[in-house]
Amino acid sequence: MLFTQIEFLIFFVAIFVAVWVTRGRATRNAILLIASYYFYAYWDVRFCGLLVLSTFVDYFVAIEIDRSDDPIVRRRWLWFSLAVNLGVLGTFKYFDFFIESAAMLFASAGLHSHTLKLILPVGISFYTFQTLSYTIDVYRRQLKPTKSLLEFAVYVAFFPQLVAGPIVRARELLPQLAVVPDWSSRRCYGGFQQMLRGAVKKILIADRLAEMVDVVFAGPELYNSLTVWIAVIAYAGQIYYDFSGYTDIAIGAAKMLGYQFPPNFRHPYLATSIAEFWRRWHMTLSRWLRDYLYIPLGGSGGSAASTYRNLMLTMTLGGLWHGAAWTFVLWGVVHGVVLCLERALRDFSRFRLPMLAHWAITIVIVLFAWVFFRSPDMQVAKACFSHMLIPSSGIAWYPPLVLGAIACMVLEHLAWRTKLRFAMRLRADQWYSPVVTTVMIWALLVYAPQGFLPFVYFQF
Amino acid sequence: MTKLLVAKWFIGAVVGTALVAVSSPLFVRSYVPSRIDSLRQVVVPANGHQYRWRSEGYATTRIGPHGMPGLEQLPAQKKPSEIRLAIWGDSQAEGVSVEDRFKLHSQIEPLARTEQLNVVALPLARSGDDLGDWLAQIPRVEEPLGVDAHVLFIAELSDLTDFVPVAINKSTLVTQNQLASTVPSFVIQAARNALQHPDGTQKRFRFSLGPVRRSEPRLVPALVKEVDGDLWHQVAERIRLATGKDVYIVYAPVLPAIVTSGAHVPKSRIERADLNDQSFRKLRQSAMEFAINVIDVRPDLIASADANRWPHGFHNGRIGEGHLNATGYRVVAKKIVNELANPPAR
Repeated sequence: MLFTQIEFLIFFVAIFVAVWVTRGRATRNAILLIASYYFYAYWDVRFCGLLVLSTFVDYFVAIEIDRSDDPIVRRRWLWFSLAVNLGVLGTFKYFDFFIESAAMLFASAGLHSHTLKLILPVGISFYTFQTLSYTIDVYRRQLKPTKSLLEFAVYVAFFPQLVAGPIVRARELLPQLAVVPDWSSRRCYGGFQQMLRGAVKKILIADRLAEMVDVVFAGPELYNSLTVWIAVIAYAGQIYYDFSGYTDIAIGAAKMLGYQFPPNFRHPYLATSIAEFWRRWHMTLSRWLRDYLYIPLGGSGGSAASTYRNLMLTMTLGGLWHGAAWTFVLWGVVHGVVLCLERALRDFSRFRLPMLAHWAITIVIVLFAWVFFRSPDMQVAKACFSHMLIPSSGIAWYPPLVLGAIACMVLEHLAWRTKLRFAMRLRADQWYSPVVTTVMIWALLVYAPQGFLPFVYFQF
Repeated sequence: MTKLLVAKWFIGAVVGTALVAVSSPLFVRSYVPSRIDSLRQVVVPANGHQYRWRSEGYATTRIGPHGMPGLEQLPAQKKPSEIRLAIWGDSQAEGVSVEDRFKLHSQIEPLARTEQLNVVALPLARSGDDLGDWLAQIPRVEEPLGVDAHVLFIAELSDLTDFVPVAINKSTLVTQNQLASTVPSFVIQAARNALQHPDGTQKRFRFSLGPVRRSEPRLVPALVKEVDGDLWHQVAERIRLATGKDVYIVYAPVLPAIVTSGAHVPKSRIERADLNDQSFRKLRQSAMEFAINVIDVRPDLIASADANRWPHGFHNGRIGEGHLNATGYRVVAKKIVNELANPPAR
């Protein structure tokens, strides 16, 4: 079920009413659990088993880890959880990729690949990271395991964040599930506005941009340089509005049900370095990678060489997390290399460029990296780069709606930069709020491209 | 406080709706009432209305007499040297994606003047029409409109293979007219978006559990349709039976076509070959037997695209795909005028 479908609207209204008319905590959580499993099974009922497996394994493993004071026993339980979670993720997401890559590597030796052709369960990367963080936090004694299986099951499967995040940590959500939230019309209104904003981002901006992006990336060699550049910028807009739109709907929906999620985006294209970009882009993934991968690897505590190694490993694996393809790996590698360069420049040079130059360099790197991210294979990425770097003739296509959406993105970032963001909050008592809200609802109904496109991050 | 807030929101909602209503003509297509034309006996948009098209191309069409798009008035009296050309076709010939001055009939007339021809082109094409509809109307309009020759514009050969005209559903027409004349276009568009799929079929909401089985995409593109020579013989015979005037079949398929990579296409490419070429040759042969002229616009369309002037598609749609644009209509108009100026020797 997509957040932008009418079915979701009906489903959400039913759940909203149900959770606010019930009084008991257990009943409320049971409703949320049933709703979340229905939400997941609506896509494919067969994969609910994986959710159940992940829930049971980490619920009981965390209790066993907490119960024991023996470091060996604790470590064994942790490894068991890691093996199950990463094993499931590896099988469904990466098995075919590694087999095909190995077969390509040894093709000359006559090795043939036998892939499983498994369907990637939606949201598996997200809920696996959530359950892992819970078990690791318990192992590190940063969190006491919950005694309630129901609350833990809701934490793993909670529908607003189940399929594409934000990656909420147990210590953020479990305490909220342990109480019945108080009704707050202000919070509910805020959640509604955020959901509406997310729908506008997704349906009116991202999906419009996708209409050009999909066509040009299907055959960049057919188009002239300017068209390819516009398509790449459009993709930067598409993925931002698609994912941040999804996040807004997720956070807004949770807010309307009485729960608080962490923010996931802070205008990433304002970043003046790649390090800052990662503090603004998919923030819940960044902090997960930092806390559960980069720091355990040693972080920046050792020598310069070890720091670079840790950065490269983290970003490469971060790229691979997004998808089982070499293009995603390269996207991670590009970000890793630039992060290392930034660190080296900071540590070994006093030379500083003006802020605007830093921003321009960052945005160009981000755009070039997005080419890897969007390209279905290396040939397409190569064709894109060749048309971006060498002026080339071809079909000239300049869609006004796409250019308008890009202008919206620039203006929105500028407004944020120039502190005009207060106007975006649409407080209920402001005179312009009902006008803007009505216009947004009509715009969604009238100007939406017919047919719904799935969210980009659903495939991860 | 609550009452004030409710009042504020009510007024705000009204103002917001008014803003959308005022600005929507810039972005939303219009829904104009239709009527059954007494001469043509088909449903056409009512005379004097303006029809906005906004999704592919960006144009406003003035509806003229007998529902002719882009022709405001019929010339009062036919001059002796005048050639009246009836243009039949579907949406590709109708041309609502371009402004009136760029439509096919508008481009034929000035080009004909450069060839010392006095041509009045009558745009009789309607979206969704095919041979059955044209053959039914041709005898009705020839005498009253003073038609000297007919142009059958076809983008797909299959347009010629259906001999049955579309029946008029009067009750649907009444409902649609009531809606078009009472409900603002943006409201109709909103309802259509919510309740219909892009192809116009009713949306069905699903609340059952997944997965949903999807049908496999067809390997063979739908446009590949071999038609045997006997059928083309029948087609030509029926056309000839419908009129004794000159007939020009104008063949202008979507060529070159941009084939986008996908499940069954490994690499995107520009396709210049017409998959229906064999069929077209048979059609041409049959047409010649009945003294029907066939104008093949394919080489001119391809040459135009090769010069980076794509005849199909729009910037606010997709270049190289969809309906003819102003350039495309000019290419077709030139070819028709050239044929009129230099008739083939029989």
